[in-house]
Amino acid sequence: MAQQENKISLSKKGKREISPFIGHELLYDYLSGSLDKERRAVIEDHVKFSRDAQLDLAKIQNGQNYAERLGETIVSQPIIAQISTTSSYFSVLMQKSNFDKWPQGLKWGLEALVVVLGIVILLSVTPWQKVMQRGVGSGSKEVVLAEVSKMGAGSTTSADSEDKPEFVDEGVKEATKEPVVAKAPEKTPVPEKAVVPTVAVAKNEKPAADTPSVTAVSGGFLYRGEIAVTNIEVVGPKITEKINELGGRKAGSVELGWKKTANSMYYHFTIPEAKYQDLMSFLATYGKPKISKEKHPRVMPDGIVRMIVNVDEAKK
Amino acid sequence: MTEADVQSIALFFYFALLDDQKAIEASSQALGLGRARKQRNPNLKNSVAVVAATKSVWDKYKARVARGRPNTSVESGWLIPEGVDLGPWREFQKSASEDELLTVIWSKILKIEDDDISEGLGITQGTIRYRLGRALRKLGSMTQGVSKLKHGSTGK
Repeated sequence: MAQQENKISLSKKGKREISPFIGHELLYDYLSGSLDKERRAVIEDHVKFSRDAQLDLAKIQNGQNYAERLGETIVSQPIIAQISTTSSYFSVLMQKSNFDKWPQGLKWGLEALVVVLGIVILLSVTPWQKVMQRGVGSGSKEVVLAEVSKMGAGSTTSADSEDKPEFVDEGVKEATKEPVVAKAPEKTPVPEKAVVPTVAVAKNEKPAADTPSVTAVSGGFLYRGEIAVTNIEVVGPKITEKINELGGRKAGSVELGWKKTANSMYYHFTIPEAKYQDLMSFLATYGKPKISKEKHPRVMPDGIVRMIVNVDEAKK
Repeated sequence: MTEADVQSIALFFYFALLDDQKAIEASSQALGLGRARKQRNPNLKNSVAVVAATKSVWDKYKARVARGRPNTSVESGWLIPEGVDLGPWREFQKSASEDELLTVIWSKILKIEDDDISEGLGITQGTIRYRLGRALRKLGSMTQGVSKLKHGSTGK
């Protein structure tokens, strides 16, 4: 027992002193003030008598001061902004997948695949029907071939069908079933019934195959109406002149302003839709036009409307 | 995450990697990671999230960066305080162990509390203090003042 007690080095006050190793390791704790009173006193004693401890303490202090000075480093705003913005989903994905480290061939392949996919999606999503229609409808000079059904064997030749007028009067069209109509139209009382020889009149007109409207079967409109004017003999030619001036074109087989009876004139024509209102305004100066829009199987080209207007002498 | 946190993350990687561009890249990743952690656990302290995120990204980057070969320039936007020489830090970054390097940055440069560091890393505060003691001693020996004192006192 006595031998063991002799081995333990005790201080004069009977306290156990710390070894230089422990004292050395506790220097940072001493410096940061995280030791209790007793421990701090012991370390202070250790530092007082140990040159190495003094040096170590100085090192730690210097290191701490130096690091704290480094902590005053300022990061400029552009860098802060760069760090904050580059953490987008895509960039994180790229970084996580280590895209930079991928083999060059694989990268190119993947990029090509993405491009091809994009093109395929674009092609499949694009409404080609509409695109084609727009291309045809925008005043192109393409010729649309129309299938012409031959009504009645031998009665119409292929040449006849080509010579059909662009816009045939509805009345006239119906009347073509009657074979005898190539007489002077003035004598026929009702234009709807009056059948004009389509071949004879249509010779001066464009062939049916020139316009796409003939090919259409349903879904079009026809503006039909009438107006009562005073002094039809004077007003009639003016209306004809105005229609021509507005770009109107005769449709059907009779001429524009065909004199149906002594007190009635018949106008069957096409006119640019944009000029429709101008025409209505012009007609309104002579009377009250009553125009109705009717459904009609014939579809007109975009921007063109077809009209049938009867101009009558106002009843006194 | 506040702008101060972004600044802390940026400083961490600047001093840990000593590479301007890689510091920005790594900071960006760490910021994303830190935000994700905060989203998962809104009660997490920002400083703890910063420690955990920076450690996680550092683990990825440490293999890529050749320590001791700094790649920094004066005009790069990292404004070192006037009169501070980066030489001792370069030496320290080259020779210190990973634990020592990171602990000094978190504790002394970013001034994060020891308990936040220990929580972020999942280690005890005693370990943090031990690492700091060793690291600061090493860093201090690399600063000129200490070298002079040592040379003067030993008479070499």
